[in-house]
Amino acid sequence: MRRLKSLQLLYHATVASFLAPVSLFVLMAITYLPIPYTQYHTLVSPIPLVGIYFWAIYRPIVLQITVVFLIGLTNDFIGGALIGLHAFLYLTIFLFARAQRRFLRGQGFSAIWACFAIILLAYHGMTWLAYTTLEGQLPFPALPMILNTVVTMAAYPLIIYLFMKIDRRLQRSESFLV
Amino acid sequence: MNNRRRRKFSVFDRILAVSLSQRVGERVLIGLYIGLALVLMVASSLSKNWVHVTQTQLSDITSPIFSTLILPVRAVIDRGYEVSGLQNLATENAELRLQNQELLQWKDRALALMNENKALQALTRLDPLPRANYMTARIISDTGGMYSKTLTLDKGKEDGVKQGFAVMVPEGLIGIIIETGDVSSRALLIQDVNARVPVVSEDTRHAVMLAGTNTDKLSLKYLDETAEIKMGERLVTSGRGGLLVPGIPVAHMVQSSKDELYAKPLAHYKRADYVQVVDFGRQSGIEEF
Repeated sequence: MRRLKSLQLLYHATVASFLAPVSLFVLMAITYLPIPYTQYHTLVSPIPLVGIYFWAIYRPIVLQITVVFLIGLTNDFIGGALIGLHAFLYLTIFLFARAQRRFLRGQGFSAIWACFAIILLAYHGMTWLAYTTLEGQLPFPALPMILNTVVTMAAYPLIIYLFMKIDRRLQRSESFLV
Repeated sequence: MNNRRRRKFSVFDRILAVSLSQRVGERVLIGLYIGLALVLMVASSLSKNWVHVTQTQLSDITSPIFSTLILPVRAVIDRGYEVSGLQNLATENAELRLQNQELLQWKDRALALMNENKALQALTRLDPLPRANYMTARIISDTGGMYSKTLTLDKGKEDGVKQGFAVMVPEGLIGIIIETGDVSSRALLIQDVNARVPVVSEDTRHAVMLAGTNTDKLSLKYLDETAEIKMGERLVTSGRGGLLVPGIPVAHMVQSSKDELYAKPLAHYKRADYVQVVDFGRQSGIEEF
């Protein structure tokens, strides 16, 4: 019986540790699917940020910094021109959200959402700054940036709802196992 | 209650071996990763070659994933088009009838011009342009973003795709193949800030270089100040640079309300799931693009 329980624990821990990276990879894949949302703009919004933000606040233990770094790097190699930019930004945002998780968990949904909006703006600002500094691209892509922000903010509640479901399920199985 | 809950989580901490108490090791890792990310950023801004090679190798691995994920998405989008298409069926039908009549007139004119062209080529002993080879490829991922405009296609070296092949849709040129993997390839779109296409205005024959701006406005470089190009005039490839054959439609001239001149692409990949990868037998000028 004890052996069975250990096996169940091991299975649960494996599932839990794979869930965060897999969920982030799926979000990243969705980002790069050629989905038109207007005739000339594509859905290339930083949706994986929502996942990183969620795991950093609610279950940082299942998301290691190596995974965050690798997801960012993969993101860069799939779609970016500046390699390392998303690796840097995702890692920084993950560390920031994880450091603030006690404060954020004490807030309501709207406040957490608003904090994400600030993080998103910082992300866009830093991305533009990096491209301007290293690639010399000065024109500010205002319209795509607004569209990206709107799409990401609109996707936020849906993604968080799904992730909350996953998290509750994990919590339930944990309470059965321990 | 709180103590009990804390005990529960500490079991998982041990099993997962990612305890937050391992602060020192983690700090070293964070420093390493941030340093590595910054070095990579600078290195990729200095040289794009290694970036493109790695990106293509990775796209060979990820292309089956994207190809699978795109199926349900495309199904939903196609269903949406079907519904909106049904609503506009009568109007669209009337428009198509008119268009068909116009196209039949154009066909007669094209045949006459083709015969005239052949006769003139024979008279002047002009070597005809090499015959183009066409291949259809599916767009599997839209790998661009706000700061780069690229597409990943599901055809690679194994299908005969090479660097420098043109990427087109029926309306005209949309980009060029810049990197090829075994089963996938990456196309740089004409909107990308690194893209340059030598073109000529179709009627007034003024040469100009189209430069991408990461938006749908293509800037006009090296345009003679005295040049008078008509608004709406088409810009077609000039064939200079040796990469593309002359005469491929690329963009048309637009004047903004602030009197700013720019070109707008004639073709847009967003209207297509598939593109044509065209071999004009002129890959020597890839570095010119």
